[in-house]
Amino acid sequence: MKKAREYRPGTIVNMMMVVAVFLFFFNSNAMMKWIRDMGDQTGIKATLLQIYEPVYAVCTFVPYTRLGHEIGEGYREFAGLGYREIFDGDPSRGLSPDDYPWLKAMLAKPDTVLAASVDSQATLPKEEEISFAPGTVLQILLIGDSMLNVGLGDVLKKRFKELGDVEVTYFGKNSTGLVRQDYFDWFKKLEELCKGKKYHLIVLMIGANDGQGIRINGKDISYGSDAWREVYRGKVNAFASMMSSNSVRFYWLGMPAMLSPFFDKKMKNLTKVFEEETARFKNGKFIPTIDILSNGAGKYAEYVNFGGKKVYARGRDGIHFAPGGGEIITKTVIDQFKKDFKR
Amino acid sequence: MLFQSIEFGILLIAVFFAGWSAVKLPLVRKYILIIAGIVFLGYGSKILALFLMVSSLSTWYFGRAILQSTDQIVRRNLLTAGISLNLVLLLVAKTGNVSGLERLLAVSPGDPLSLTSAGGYMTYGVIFFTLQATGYLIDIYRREIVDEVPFEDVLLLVTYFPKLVAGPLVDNSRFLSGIGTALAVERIDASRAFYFILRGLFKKVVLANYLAVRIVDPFFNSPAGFSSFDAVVAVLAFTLQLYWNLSGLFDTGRGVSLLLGFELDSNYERPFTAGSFKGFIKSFNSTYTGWLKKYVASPLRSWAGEREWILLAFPAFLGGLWYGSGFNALLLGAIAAAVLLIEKKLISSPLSTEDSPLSTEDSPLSTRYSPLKKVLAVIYTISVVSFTLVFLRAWSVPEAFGVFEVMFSFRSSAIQTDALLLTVVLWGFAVQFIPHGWSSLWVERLSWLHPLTQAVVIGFIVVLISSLGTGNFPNLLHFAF
Repeated sequence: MKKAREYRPGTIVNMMMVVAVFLFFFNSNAMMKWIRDMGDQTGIKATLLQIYEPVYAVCTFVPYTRLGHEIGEGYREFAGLGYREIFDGDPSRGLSPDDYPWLKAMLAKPDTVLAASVDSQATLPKEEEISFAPGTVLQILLIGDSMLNVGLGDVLKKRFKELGDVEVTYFGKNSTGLVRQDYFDWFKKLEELCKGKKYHLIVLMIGANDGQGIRINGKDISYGSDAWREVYRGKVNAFASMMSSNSVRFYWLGMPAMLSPFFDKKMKNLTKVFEEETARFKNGKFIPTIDILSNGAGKYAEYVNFGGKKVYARGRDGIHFAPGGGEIITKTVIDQFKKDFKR
Repeated sequence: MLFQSIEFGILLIAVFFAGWSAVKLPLVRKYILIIAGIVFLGYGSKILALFLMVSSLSTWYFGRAILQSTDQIVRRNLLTAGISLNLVLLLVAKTGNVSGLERLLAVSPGDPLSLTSAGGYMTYGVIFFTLQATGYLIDIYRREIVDEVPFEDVLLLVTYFPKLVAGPLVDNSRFLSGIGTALAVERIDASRAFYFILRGLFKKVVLANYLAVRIVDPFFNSPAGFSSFDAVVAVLAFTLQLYWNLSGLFDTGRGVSLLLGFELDSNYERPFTAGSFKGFIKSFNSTYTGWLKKYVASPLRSWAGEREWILLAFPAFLGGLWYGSGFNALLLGAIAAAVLLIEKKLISSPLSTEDSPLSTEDSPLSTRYSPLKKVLAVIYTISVVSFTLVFLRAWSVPEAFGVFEVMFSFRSSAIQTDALLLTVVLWGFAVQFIPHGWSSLWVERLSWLHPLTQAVVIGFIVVLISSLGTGNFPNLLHFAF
């Protein structure tokens, strides 16, 4: 057997440069994301952006230059890993079509449900009488993202069932939200879940993945801009409207306080929109979770006082719920349910 | 700095280029490597870079003082001082939030500079370089190193960055005597180096992160939401995740080290093929086990006398403290020690013959037992290891018991394990039984391709790993107290 061939350092430097060039062009998305994620105190970031952004913009239409990103998207879907903006976001969404005109045509991917709902104002449905014959099995739908799935959904389902004469339908999907309809379309899913059925109650907890830019009709709208708020409000309104017409009552659960101040601010902004839009529907009820899951002042707390006890309420990621937190929210929801649906 | 980051790629190219440009100036090359180590660790946390400098400088100082002193009491005092300083650094790093250091530095557990949060993952390096330094001082005290070691060589021994994250803990004499040879190397087995780097990145970025994102993190964050079957899969998945994390980082470091001219000892060699818990401990982080044997078990042997259980239990208990966090660590160590004692008393291990987990005897599957017995022994080992590691990963002792509660509640609703996840977990254990050899054959063949062709193949694999990698901040919170 031949011995492995050894190389001089100069040859290896050349090999490394080839690998770097390969990455530079075939993994342009990762490169662009890396530059955008850099700290910007030194000014290096701005310089790198100036140099690389035009290269990257060209890469958006050169075949195979976003190979890594495309493989990654297919893989995440196949492996059921979900989408997380922080790791999986497409940096081409941050390019301005005004600077790079070809993007207008290339990035167009209409956001169908959204387009119809931007300026929509849901018709206020007439409040229905909540009365039912004894023995009626109440139909309840629980939906949401990982905020429901992790630590809350199971507890909620269990406690509803314990009330008796209740049938619970549960659907939770991690890493989803109302923003990325191209990744997972909650509007379509709700329509599917409600087909030929009217629920007595729909409970929704969603929004953790919505603090990101929105693409509408090929145009990217940056998170936090006025345009973004308007579009997102439209989406929330449209979704609330769908829940309103498919249920006797719906509860929109607000986001709790988050550990990261940056993320917390985002979630508080979204929660305000949920509250305001839910209030437009007579059968809608917004249930805030910030106060019940914090020890005063609305700040994130891992342990909270509940019923005279210190309860471990939040998962260690600073976002999701520990079962204790799930129990606290569940109690609030069940209390509201008992008020609304008197037997 | 993470091995899989672009920053590290830039550092590696810079160090490689600068290092080999100064090939005729060994002293300059040494300093380039020392500075690279400090930058590597300091990029994530300046505090840890400071720890690394304090550890390496104090090790040089105390080492030289011990060597020059002839008075046995003075030597012992110097050794105690040197070891204590390193142990203090280790303890401070592990207890940053408990000791109030983080409050003093105004960082919170969620801060990237935190010593104990997921962002402070490089703390893992502290557990390696402090032990390396401690071992060096003991070697000098025992007169295993008798010649004065140059200042820069001691610094390089402690700060050498390819081994900072996941080891190995190198043999001090061998490393120091090999520095000259390593720096004089003119040709490099680049194919093997790149193979180790790619293998390591694949294990860490693709496999370990897949398991973390897909099942381990969601499950351990909130076990109550999962079925019993998911619980079993998640617990097995964590065992594999830990192995792929550490062995992946080690492989990458080993490849990087080869590029720089240094061959590191092998580590994390197929531990799941061991037919006993003892065998697993021996081969999991074998250089750490070797360190324990040399610096803890040997001195204990004379003191323990007939009480052999001490030789089994004490190092296992220390291992638990070293890897684990909080009360979990105490329990982890205690369980590991108990399992070893039970194995010794009750089970005549089918695959291993020596009693001490610290023995260097190679095991396992070549011995005289039937295939069925071997299979049962392997299943037993994986099960015991995985159950024990629940105490490493669970956030607290009650939560660890919560995991077992879910597991044995036989709840079958809403199973979230899919075919891919199950396949990866089963394959992860099964692949360990494939004999060595086939990969080196391919590496040799690759080495004879034109360097440009090799570079294109490597570039393509790196792009593939990067795209299949699920971005995930390493969740090593279980390390800190």
